[in-house]
Amino acid sequence: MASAEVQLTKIENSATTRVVTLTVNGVQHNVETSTRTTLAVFLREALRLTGTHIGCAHGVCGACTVMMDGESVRSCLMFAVQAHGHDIQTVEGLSNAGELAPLQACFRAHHALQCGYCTAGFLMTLTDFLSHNPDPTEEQVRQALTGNLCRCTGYKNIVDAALDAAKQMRAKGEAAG
Amino acid sequence: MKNQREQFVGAPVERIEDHRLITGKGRYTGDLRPEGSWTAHFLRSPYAHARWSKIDVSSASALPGVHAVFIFR
Repeated sequence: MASAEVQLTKIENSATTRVVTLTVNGVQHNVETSTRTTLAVFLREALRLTGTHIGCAHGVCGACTVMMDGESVRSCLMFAVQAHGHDIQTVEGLSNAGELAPLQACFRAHHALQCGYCTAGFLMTLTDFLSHNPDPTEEQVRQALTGNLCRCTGYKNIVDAALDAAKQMRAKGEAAG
Repeated sequence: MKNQREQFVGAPVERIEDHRLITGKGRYTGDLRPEGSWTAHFLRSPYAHARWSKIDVSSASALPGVHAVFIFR
């Protein structure tokens, strides 16, 4: 067999499928998918949740960041089958019944986005970060965002939005007792 | 005119597109799936500096679901 043919046969054989059972934004899905499909492509193509964006597809830009069991992960660096049995949250699941989460509202108020392509990734990274760091310094916010690239807004307004959101969430938490 | 001045000049104005962008409802070209559209894949040379002699696409063309293969000639 010619080497190109061997190669193609290998590719065809690798297109094994599995049924993945996972929860996305509170909804359980059972979907058959190729074992080589990344979680990012799975969310976008199989579930049509196109709010998760693929920027670089190799873990550098952070646009595809989602949360798995409450921890932020790069969905382009994971296979969909690795999310089997896990709980995924995407940008579509951030706002509660149409009401913006404080972080989303602060992004809007501080003009922390322009084209919006990187925004979902920033929101997910920060949602994870702020849940563990309710009272961060500016330096800590900047450190947390080193894995997310924005090519039009720059980072100042995003950092401002994160700090304001942290403040608002603390006030809300204190009011709730 | 006077009302508009009072409403907008010197006041922070929220962008109308932001709500959909921060809730994951933005629509980008890559999100669209026009009916009947196919997907293109580009296979680039694994050699940085090489001379092209021949390209055999017969096995690629024979794969299920492949509509067309275009190559340099």
